Amino acid sequence: MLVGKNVSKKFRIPIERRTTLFEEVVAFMKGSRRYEKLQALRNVSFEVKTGEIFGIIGPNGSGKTTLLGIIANIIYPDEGELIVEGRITPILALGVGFNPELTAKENVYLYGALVGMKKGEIKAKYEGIFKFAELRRFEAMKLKNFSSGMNARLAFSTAIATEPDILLVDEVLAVGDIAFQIKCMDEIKKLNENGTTIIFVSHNIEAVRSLCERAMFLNNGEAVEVGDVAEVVNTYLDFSSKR
Amino acid sequence: MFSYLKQLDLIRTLTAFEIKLRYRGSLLGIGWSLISPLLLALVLYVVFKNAFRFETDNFAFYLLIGIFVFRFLSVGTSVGMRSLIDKAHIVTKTPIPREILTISTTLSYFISSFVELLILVLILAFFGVGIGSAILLLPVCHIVYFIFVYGINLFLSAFMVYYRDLTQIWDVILNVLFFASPIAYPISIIPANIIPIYMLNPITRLIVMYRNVMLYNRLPNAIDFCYVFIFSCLVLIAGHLFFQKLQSRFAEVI
Repeated sequence: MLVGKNVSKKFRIPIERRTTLFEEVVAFMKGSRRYEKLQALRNVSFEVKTGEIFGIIGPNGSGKTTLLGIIANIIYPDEGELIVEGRITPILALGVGFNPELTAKENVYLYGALVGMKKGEIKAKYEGIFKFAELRRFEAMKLKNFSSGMNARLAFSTAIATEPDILLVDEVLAVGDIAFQIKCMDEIKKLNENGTTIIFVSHNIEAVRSLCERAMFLNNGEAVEVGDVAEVVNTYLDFSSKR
Repeated sequence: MFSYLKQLDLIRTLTAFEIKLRYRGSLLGIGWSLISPLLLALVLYVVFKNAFRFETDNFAFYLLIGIFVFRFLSVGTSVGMRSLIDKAHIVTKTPIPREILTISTTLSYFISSFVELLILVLILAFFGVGIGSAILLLPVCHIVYFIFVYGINLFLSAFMVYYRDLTQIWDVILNVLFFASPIAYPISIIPANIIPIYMLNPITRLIVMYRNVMLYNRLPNAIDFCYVFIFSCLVLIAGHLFFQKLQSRFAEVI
């Protein structure tokens, strides 16, 4: 189960972007050290039941990725709370934290360690990961030489091998080819049948409609509607066509 | 407070990858980490021996130990301060405690600097320095030194996420520390009235400890040892608190 209660998050955007200490000191002396506040999420509440596929849709900049970051415990909310039961595996913005200087093989082992798997467990999963990603030939290649599609394949295959209780999927389907997209959708359904709760963020409305039971429509950091996927998608489509 | 230390498997794996990546595609491997301090020692030897005419026995060995010991601080912090920003992909995509990144980078340099020191011990022995049982305290000294460097790295790596020009500032501080510590000259040239202030520098006492163990086969002075140990623990705790305070925004700012 995953419940968000009145989750709010503000980001600070420096008005003049300063990244060096020297500039910061100068600005501080001049008394011009100001930030603009960006309300990325405002009082977002939702409930994802164990074993369901929950969609999150909304225009660019509506707070989807921020919300996933908060669910994954990478970004911390300013207000509100999150109740999470079970182990979460996030696939955020096409990546799971791979190091471009390491080979695909090394990255899989490193990732396993990062999510707390034992070396033996990773070894046992290794073949399956590369088979699913169809990247067996490239296991000794450094990730910086991978195409974005190959990267996404490996990220997805590795992430699902961790057998999480809750899987966060942020736009993985965007860069894979059609065959892989279909494969991913099937795999998501299969994981779900085996009990994994899935949070699915995508601009692919058809995919959301066919996969999810319920969904949330985010706009400007606010949850416009949470409920049955058909209704939420309709609200979103109406909203988008009016803009 | 330090519960992340329980994730031993992860720390071990990250440290191993760090070392592996450092020597990947390098012909000489750890050879480089010996060549540069040896060359520096050569230059300083020629300059200081001739220009200042110190009455120090074994000045070459004396100098080498100082340089090798200082290297852990200078290299360990210069790289350690980048331990978060160079692993932004992990900071922004996984929920692991971020201290783990800093501790594994520090550990990887702890290991390579220990190997460097062991090689130096062999060199010293080869040139006739009597290595005695005091050498057994070398690991103890190095662990205390590790606590110090790790504490500093917690400060620097967290700060670095927000301000990238910390590198330049820290370079200047390292240079000051190099000459504020008895590396290229004997402590005896420091005027007696300045000594109380001079000895506040923990690096000074550390280097004295290492020289005792490696060159003179003497136990480290108990006061030196306690001073450095307590100082290091305080740095570690302060660094930890500082890191904790800044870490909540790491994934947003990095």
